[in-house]
Amino acid sequence: MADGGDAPSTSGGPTPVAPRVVEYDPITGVPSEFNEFLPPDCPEYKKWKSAQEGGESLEKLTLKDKAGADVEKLPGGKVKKKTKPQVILSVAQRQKTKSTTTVAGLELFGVKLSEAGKLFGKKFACGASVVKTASGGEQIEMQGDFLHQIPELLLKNYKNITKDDVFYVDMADGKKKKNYFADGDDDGDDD
Amino acid sequence: MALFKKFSKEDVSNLSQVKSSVARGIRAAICETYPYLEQTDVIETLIPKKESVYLGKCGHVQLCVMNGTILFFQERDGPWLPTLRVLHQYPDMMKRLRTDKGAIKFVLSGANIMCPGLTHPDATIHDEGDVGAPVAIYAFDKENAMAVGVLKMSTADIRAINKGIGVDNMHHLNDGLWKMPSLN
Repeated sequence: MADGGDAPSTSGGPTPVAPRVVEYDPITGVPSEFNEFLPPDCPEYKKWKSAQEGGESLEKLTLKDKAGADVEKLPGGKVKKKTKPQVILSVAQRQKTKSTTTVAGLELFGVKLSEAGKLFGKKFACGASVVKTASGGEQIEMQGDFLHQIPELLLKNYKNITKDDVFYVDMADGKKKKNYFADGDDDGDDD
Repeated sequence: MALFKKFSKEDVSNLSQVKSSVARGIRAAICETYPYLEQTDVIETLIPKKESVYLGKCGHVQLCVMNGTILFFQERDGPWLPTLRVLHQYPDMMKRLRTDKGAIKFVLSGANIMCPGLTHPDATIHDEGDVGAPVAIYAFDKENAMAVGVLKMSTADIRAINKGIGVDNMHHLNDGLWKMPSLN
């Protein structure tokens, strides 16, 4: 019992411990033993349940590929918007010759609005800010008319925005949204 | 109360690198709460001395972030609690409580752990603790921790009174914090 120096319980020197590797279920992301106990209204549980039943069509319904960004965005469980994510540009008149361009819907593509706002301001040498809309969403407001320059910039900088996702409010038509890149084609959906 | 019920990247209002004095303070606080981390030198693996510690803030919650990974979180001035991913890697770092099977689905929805769930014949109180002590919540027959909480009543009281909230559920599997392990 009368040992020299190696008493393992005292601070003779820290004994290294390797981290345990825990396997998480590939579908739900939690340890597999808890799969069946997840709250039934959360997307992970639904995915797991449908994989269990082997119903492929069910899986497609719950996953909502097109609006995939939406489902992931709000882990609290609320899927606010069921519409396809779109970027909507509009121009409003301010004073005599001055106008403002509004870009809405960028956050649905995972774009940080404050960064995007700064980028726009720099590129076009204008004032750009993030404002809240009446419905609670946010959009970027720029001083000046940049309706025609913004789509190019969006496509160039943000790889996940495609031509189909960009719409603008045509002043002549009032409230109608048109797909920017397909003039006269009217590809976009009016939700 | 489920702290991270609705939690996403946008809720983190501020992510900034902290001065080394603050980082040392955080490290010291964590070592004090979890002597196991210091004894096994795991704290050096998690929060190396040389590397920069980032602090994310969301409301009254602070997140300790290393290399983009969220390691610990703290509500107001409470104890620093590890995220479940960290706890899974080093399960011996905290005191354990094991609830019965029936409590699992409630805990995973964010409910607090009630005394009867801990005094149930299937439940085990592996380690004793006092009010305010951080604990890992396990479930009967399950290998991995399902939640991290703070004792609202001492374990002795839980057995004696057997009524009311025993442990506050701060973080559980599949909550907002679990789903977001990394911040840019």
